[in-house]
Amino acid sequence: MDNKAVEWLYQQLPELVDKGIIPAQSAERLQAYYGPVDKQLKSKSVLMIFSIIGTILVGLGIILILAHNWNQLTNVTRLLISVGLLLVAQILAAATIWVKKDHSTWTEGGATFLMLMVGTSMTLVGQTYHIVDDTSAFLLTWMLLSLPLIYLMGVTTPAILYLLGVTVWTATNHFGIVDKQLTWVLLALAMPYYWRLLKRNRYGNSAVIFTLVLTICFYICFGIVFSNYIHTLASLICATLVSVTFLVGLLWFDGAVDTGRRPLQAVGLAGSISIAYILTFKWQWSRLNWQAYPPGSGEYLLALTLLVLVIGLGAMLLRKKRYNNVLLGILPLVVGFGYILQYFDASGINATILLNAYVLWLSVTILLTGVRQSKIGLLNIGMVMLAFLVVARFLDIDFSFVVRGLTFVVLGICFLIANLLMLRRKNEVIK
Amino acid sequence: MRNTKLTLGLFMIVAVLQLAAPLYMAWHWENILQTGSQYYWQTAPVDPYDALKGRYIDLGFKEQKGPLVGNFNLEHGQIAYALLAKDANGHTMITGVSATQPSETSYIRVKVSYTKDNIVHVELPFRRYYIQEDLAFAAEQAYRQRANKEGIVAVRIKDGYGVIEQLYIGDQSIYEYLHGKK
Repeated sequence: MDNKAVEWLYQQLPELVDKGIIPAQSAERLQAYYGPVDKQLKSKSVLMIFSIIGTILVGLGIILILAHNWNQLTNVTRLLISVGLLLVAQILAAATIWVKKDHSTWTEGGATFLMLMVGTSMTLVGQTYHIVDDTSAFLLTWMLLSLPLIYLMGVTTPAILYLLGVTVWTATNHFGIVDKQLTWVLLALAMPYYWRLLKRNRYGNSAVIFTLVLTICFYICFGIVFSNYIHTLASLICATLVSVTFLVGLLWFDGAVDTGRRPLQAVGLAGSISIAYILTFKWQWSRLNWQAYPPGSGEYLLALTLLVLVIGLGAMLLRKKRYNNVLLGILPLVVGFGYILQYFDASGINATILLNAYVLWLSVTILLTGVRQSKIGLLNIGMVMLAFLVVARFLDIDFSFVVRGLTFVVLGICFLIANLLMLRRKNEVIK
Repeated sequence: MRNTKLTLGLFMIVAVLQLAAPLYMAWHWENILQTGSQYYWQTAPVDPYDALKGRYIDLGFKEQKGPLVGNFNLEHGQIAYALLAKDANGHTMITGVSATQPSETSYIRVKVSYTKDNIVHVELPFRRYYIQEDLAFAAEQAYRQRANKEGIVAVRIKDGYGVIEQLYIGDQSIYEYLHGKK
């Protein structure tokens, strides 16, 4: 359980005991179970963030100074500088292992600096000999030489830099389709560390940031690695991908008190709404041409696998009797049905209507849930979605400026009234 | 404590590997620079927007194509071997491009750009000349104006790998040329 939640619980306990809701014994047991709140955690986190930022700035500064390409330096001097910097970084890292192994501020800073210097030393040698840096080979060497640091020093910043490095490597590598699959092996090499983070505290800062970066890197790598397969069914594949993210978040990362600590749900939700919204435009459907670009077996297989995964995860969610998010989770099925409609009607009008109806339904449901639960944030999300839908249709279809203007005014007034009513209701409840 | 010692031991192995990477690179290229054969390559101007990228000059070469050797299909991006010779002026010329590694010594590993009428157009591995930041603009101007007539790149080549020794404008190195102009 995250620290904030424990702190909140401890603040509530005296009141709960006073009011006789739980016996004092239970309060003591709860305190014994969760242990003391680490009051120093906040200052530790701040210190660590500054240490990491400081280290990265120093590292980048050194890289920039060397990028000046000092003409006065001989090849030997340049080599001595590059190896010397690396050696200093290694000694610092070794010292943190020896002396400050349990101080994450030191280990994170030391390992990050060393990782940057590994790259710098190779760049400087390349620059000395005017080597056309084969970016992908350079990145691969750099990442593989830095990977052991993640495990030996138990550090998250280099792990995140590793994920970013592998993603850039995937983007810059010009090999064939099979070679590109090596990306998955490289990403998998960081997974034991991720597992360790999740086991320690899946809602802790490190795990949350790692999850967020991993999700985004995974999307980018997926897009690049399968770029040869993804054409006609691109929207469906994207919808299933974000849906899988959302459902995984709901199933295994739903325990955080703070919504900011549910990265998978946040990314999945934002992605699902964006894709659904984009697909409400008619040109997205009318541009699909099944005859000219029929999907290959690879594309079908990819889409089908992801759809099966969505259905499986959805079934698990339903088995847990959690029906409230089903509406968002069914996005891939709606998009899939849209594709079937488009197949029989190339104009795309039926698929467009379907997606518009879906987004309308979704917006109204979110809006009503906000009203029912008196959650002003949810109400506004629903209203924004609805407003976007209306505005988009107005840009789509040729209406006069007067009509468009009036609609905007009416929408704005609706927003203001809804918020006013909600605030008044909240105030009444408080009174 | 035993755990820390083990971690430190493993760290030492990683550290040695990390040190080996730049050292090996330096040894590899320095060895070519010291023991490789010298070739003079005539330069050609490149797109002015490409000429200077931060702190290096993008180099273009006149001799970047040769007849296909053997019965192979060379595709874009594929590694091939350009066979080298010197013309009457001592400038390098490509006598052929082969898909397999030749047995003779004067050849260089290249990337295939495209093949047309049995002539293979290639990308040479040395396309950059790194230069000090404050001299970069003047160097770019000099290269753009004179690359076509007087630009020469001295390259050392060994076992298919090449490393730039110097960029010349006329008979002066680029640094001598720039300092002479000041």
